[in-house]
Formats: sequence, structure tokens, C-alpha cells
Amino acid sequence: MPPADHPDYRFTLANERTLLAWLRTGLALVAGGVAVAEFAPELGVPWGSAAVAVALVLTGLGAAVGGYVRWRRNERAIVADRPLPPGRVLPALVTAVAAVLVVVAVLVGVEVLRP
Amino acid sequence: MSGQGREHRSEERARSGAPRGSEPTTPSGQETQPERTVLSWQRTGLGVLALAGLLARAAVTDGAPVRLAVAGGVALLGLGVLGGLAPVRVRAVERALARGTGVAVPRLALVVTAVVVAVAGAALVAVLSPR
Repeated sequence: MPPADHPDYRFTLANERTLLAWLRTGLALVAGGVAVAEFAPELGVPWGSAAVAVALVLTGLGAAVGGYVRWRRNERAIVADRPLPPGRVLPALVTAVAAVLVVVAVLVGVEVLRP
Repeated sequence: MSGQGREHRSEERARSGAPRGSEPTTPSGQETQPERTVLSWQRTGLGVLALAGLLARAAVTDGAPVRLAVAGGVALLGLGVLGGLAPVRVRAVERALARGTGVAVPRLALVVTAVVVAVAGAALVAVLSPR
């Protein structure tokens, strides 16, 4: 029998579930952005709410696209039987979310301390 | 699964030329992987639907019919993932396992990513539209 020309199906499916998990993370961030715009229309400064909402939606978009890029690189590595490449999407996402959180904290502070 | 069983199976695999990795590819019944993958697809579809609900609620609150239509479009995309891509994927995996071929369908990954990107675009429009 010739050696199989395809990888173990479990690797393929695990990589696919990782992609879907990235997409859901992106969806959650997008939903967070919509929620900020809807439930906190006034946040600190006049443009505060819109800025945070847009930042969250764009972060969610980035998570989805980054997750797809990562899926494709992993898929190639799995087919070639190489170790998975190091991920750079997660540090980028964590940085973006942390930056948004800092901005939100400042805006909430402005809102609370407003005379 | 015990270590002994695994070793035994990988020897078997080496002889039979089954896919590399470890255990031989078996039709569903012994592995929970296909099931988990389908549930993951369904959760993603449900996530899109939940976002559609949020967008619809915001549109109704603000009295914005265009944004309500956009929310409807997002809901259709969610239904498409839940009722279209997920079952298509199940059948593709089952067929591939029965035949012993690879289970990869790269186009589905691209399609579902495109759905999420489109949904994010719709949310961006909703967030930026004047209220």
C-alpha cells in the first residue's frame, strides 16, 4: 500500500476548529463594539464612544483575518508534516485589546470625574 | 487511550500506510473529532445570529430601517453558516473518512472567514452611522 498523501484527519479538523475559535473571538469583539455604541453612546468625550466601538470592531476584523492567515500557515505545515509555525496573531490581539481597555479606562475616568 | 494501545496502533499504521499522525482513520463512531468540529461550526453560526440580534435591537431602538435591513442580512449569513456550511462540512468529513481521503476543504474556511469579515463590515457601518 502506498504511503498516504494526506495528513491525519484529526490535525486538519483541530486546525479548522482553531480557525472557527478565532472567528468567534472576532465576532465577540465586533459585538462588544456594537454594544459600546448602543449602550454607552456618551463616554468621556464626544467622540469617545464611537472611537472605542470602531476600535473594537476593527480588532474583531483583525482577529478574523489573522485567524485565517494562521489557519492557512498551519494547514501548509500539517500537509508538509512540519512543526506548526509560531503564532504572531495572539500577541497582536492581546496588545490591541489591552490598548482599547486603557482608552476605555481613561474615558470612564473622564466620565466619572466630570463635574 | 492507553500508551500501550497507541504504540500498537502506530505499528499497525506503519505497516498499513495509513495517514501519519497516529491511529488509523476510522469512520465516525470511535472519535469525537468530527462531532466537535460540527459543534464548532454551529457555535460560529449562532454567534453570527447573536450579533444580528444585537444589530437589530440597536436599529429598532434608534428607528433606523436601513440598519434593520443590514441586521437582517447578517441574520441570513448566520443562518447560512448554521444551516448551510455546517451540514455541508459534516457530510464532507463523513464522506472523506469513509473513503479514507483527506478531510481538508480549504474553500469552506475561506467562505466562513469572508462571512465574519462581511459581518464586521456591517457592524462598522452600523456603529459609524449617525444616531
